[in-house]
Amino acid sequence: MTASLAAEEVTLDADCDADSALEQLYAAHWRRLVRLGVLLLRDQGVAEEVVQDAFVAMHARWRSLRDPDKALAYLRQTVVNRSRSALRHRGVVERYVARQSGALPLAEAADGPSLAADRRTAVLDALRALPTRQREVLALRYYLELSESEIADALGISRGSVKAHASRGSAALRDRLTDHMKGDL
Amino acid sequence: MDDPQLSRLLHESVEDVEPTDRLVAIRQQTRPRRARRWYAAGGMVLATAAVVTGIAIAVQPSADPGPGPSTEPTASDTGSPDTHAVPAYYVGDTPQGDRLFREFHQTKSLDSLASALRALTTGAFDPDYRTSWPEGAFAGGWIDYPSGLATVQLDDASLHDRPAGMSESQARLAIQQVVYTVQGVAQQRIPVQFQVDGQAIDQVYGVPTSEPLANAPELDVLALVSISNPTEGRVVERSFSADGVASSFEGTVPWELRAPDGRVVKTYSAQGTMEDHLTPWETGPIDVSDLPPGTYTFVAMTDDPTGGEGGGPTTDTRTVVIR
Repeated sequence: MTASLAAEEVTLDADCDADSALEQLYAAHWRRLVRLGVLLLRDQGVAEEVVQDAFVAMHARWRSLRDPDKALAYLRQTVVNRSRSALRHRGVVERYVARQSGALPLAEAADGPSLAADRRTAVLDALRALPTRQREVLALRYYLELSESEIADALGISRGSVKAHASRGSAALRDRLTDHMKGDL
Repeated sequence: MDDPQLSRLLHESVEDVEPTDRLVAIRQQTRPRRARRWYAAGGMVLATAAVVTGIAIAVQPSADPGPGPSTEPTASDTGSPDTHAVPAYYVGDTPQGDRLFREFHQTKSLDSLASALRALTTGAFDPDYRTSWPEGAFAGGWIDYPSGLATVQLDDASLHDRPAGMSESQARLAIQQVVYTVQGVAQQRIPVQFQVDGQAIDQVYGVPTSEPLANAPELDVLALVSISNPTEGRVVERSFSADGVASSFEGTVPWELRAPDGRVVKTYSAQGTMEDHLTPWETGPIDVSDLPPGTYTFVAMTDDPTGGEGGGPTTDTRTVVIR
């Protein structure tokens, strides 16, 4: 029996063990989930930690998940939840950011500024400035391209709230990024 | 909700992010627990002799672990009159990932802090718990109540760096294991300074420790339910009661008693309160006179009104021997 992963050309035997599930999910989703973490946290080092922990947790729960789709949903949810609690320890996070060689340069500190690099940092900064829920909804909607109901499941909120957060969030983001949204886009 | 422009901006903003390969680190963490070198195995019996360096301050024999959680083990669990309980925090699995569970250890020593630190290195009675601190990690410690500072002496600088296979969040949790244990002994949320040879050490397991460290918020690092009583392997006759601390939906702590074959033979819920920290719960007497003798498991849970959406309930278990 096989189940196919949403948006991925990966299939897993439903009875395959936790180790091979881990490896296949890692191969298919590690990079994308870390990038999701960067959108949520604005720090690559912390994002990698969070996603690493999520994979370890998923492995421990494989026996009850037993299905790559469920495992992926669990990974997404865990990354969002852990990113949120990492941000709650903002002091801790920022102390780590200062020590992380992998930390993304802050907008002011970015050297060799190019238009594209400028815009990237501006987008990350603008996301970081949004309320947590709005940031989460936008990242899941526009980066992972999840449906409203998938987002509602991942965040444990209603579809109505997803809509509300998405519309407020994108308005606020557009507001902050007006300079970057005209011109070459 | 379609917005190709936002979609493009978000994709573009992270397209240069190339994560480092962490599969090996993940595989190390998902190997069977016993294979993790830096974890001391659980289930060891606590030695009672105290060996300390530095000035040791005896703490009164109360088991109150701190200003938040404040349950005391009942008399039936406190052993002989010349022993008292010290709290020790261990790492265990929860739906939120690794969290700290509290366990009480009996000691005859007047140096409660040294006893509690030793309990961290010898391991937990509960086989579900583990510790990040190897045998001999601590040389001792003291609590300076007037200045509101606790000091923990490491035996040497060998734990300065984060070992391979320990993630940063595990390292931070290891530090919190010590901070919560020390604060439990002190019964105050005081900061903790790590030292080697009387000098502050700049990092432990790679976590910056130059300055005294505060506890992380309870709801971020503690397991949302923890059993104080019964202690692991407690022998009971006719009835027993259970208590602990929890942060659970509406203060409800469902519990179960499972028979040796796993069947749930008794179930009910204890009532606590719901606040921004863990608060005490207790079951009251549980009548087991109708049950055949054997090894049972007591399970305390957080209430999960979502039916598993948020990862399911946190559970803590204790083996109870009915005689």
